[in-house]
Amino acid sequence: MDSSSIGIETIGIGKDFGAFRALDDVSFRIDRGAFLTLLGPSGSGKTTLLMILAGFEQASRGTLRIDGEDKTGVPAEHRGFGVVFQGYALFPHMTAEENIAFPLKVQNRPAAEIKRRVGDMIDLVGLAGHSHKKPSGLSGGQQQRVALARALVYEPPVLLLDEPFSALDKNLRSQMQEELRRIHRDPHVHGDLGTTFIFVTHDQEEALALSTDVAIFNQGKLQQIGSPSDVYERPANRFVAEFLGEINIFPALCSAKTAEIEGHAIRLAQAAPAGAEHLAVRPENMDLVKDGKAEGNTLPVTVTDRIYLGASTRLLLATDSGTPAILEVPTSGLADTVAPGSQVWLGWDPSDSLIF
Amino acid sequence: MQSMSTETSRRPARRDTRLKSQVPVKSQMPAAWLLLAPLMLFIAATYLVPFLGIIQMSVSEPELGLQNYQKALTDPLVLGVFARTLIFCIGVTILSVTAAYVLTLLWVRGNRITSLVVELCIMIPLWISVLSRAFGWIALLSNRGMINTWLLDLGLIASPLTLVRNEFGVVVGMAHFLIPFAVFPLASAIRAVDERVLMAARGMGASRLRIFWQIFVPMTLHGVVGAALLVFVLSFGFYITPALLGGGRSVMLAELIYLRIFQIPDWGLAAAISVLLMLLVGGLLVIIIRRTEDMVK
Repeated sequence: MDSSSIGIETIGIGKDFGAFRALDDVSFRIDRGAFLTLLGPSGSGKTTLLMILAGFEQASRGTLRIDGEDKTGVPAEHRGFGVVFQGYALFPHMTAEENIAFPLKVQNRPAAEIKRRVGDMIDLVGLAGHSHKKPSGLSGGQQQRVALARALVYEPPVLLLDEPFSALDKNLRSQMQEELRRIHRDPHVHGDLGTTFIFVTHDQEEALALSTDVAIFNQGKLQQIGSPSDVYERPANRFVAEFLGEINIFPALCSAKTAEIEGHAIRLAQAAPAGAEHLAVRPENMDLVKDGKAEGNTLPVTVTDRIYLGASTRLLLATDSGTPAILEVPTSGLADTVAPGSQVWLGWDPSDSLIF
Repeated sequence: MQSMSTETSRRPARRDTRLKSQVPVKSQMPAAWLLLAPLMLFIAATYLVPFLGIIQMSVSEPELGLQNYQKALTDPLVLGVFARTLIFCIGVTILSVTAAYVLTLLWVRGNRITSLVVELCIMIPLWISVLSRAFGWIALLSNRGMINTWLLDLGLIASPLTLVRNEFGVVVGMAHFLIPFAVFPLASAIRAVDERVLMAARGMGASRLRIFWQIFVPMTLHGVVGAALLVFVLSFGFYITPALLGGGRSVMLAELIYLRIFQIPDWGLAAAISVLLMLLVGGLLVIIIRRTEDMVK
């Protein structure tokens, strides 16, 4: 990574609240113009990190560099970042237009420039016709757009978003996600250097759909950072593997090129890391093998239940020693032989095994 | 007025549900009235009936007609007292609400110790009768009171300052009584301010002063209006504090009514002034409530 393209770099960032360690030794680098999602369960430290990046909280330890400059001790009001809060945090006594103009007025920009920029932002976020309404007269989605416009109007180098879509219903949510992607790529916003977006969510689908980079947190520690396909297809540990999507995890005895699950030999495509105790496979990489004969690996399981989902059917399975597994198969062609109690085999390609 | 929370989007929704629920509410009306009846009867017996008596007195003492109202509205003495009362109450309202705003900020947003001290300063006066407090102020402010004695002993002044039995004493006494009443509507407005809205303004680089005047004060304005309304209405009918601390030198409306009943008996005029006072306060209430509703919209 060329050092001039680094947007944000954290070195050993930590945060304590009394005796509670909210963040511990968080270090990563992302490119300027990246779309980084901070993902994790509640209490994992992701919002704390966002508040530290924004400057509303001071880190207890570590260094924060933005575009190469040390910003660790700089308070929020001197960072010039855009922030979109959970619950929008609009100024209730100002119209949409006045809300968006506020940061420009703070910066004492000329009136003509304010008018032009506010107009551009209102068009960008699709609020034409609503600019003279107060937040109380706007729908949730419209308020969200005002918040976004207000945070982007002064072309901040970094835009921070704290679970911005959590209050929206599902349809509006996916619509806003698409718009956020579009805005992130919009040259008006992106400018020559690019705006770095940092987005906090606990919705993994949202994270995978929106980001160029995903950082996964648990108990104050950064578990893994990488592209969405990296973290999904090559999870660094069991937490990441289980947190993102669905996965079948089996206790396994691993050696150099082979593994054993409950006495069944499993071929590996690569050497197992030392101390590995689990073999995991994403359900979508597994097939139902009725006679136990397949090219790759197979594992006998018993069907414990089947759940009809329309186009697909979800099978709840268990190995001989009771380790649960799931598999979703197309409903059409699924014979009644796969009834609860029947014995089937799971089959998968050795390269789809994850070992940790 | 009370609940202009920052989640303003909720308000239209609430209005909708109110409209929708009108039918079931109506069917519950008899039960509601029945439950309220004792209170209604009490108010009618102790307030409405005597007030009707006052109205009757105002048009029948000493003879039938509107001459008492004519006198109340033309007599320069009465009009002068009206004007003075109005100016006084506006001044006291501004002073009390401003002081209460600062106190409420310290109470709601200060650290634990500040908050506790301020809370005691607000609560303790509420437990002491208005009469005791008036005498307390006299003890503090009179020519031989604590403040003058100290200032004289320190050599800061040569002769005692006139701090009481004048307008100053009345303003101090009234503001002291009224500040706690202003604190409560202000506290509910200040508590409702979403911290994230202030953080958002900070993140945009706004100074503390700008955040206070352009964001915080407008967001709590409905509380200020509510507090001012309450204080103003209460101050208009003040009797004991002006009577004791004003020393008869700054006669206010309630004192004038007292004088017209007990010293220069003219019950008809006293009743007419009472009715006018009632109408004035009622009218102001209606105007200010309407304005608040518009503002909240």
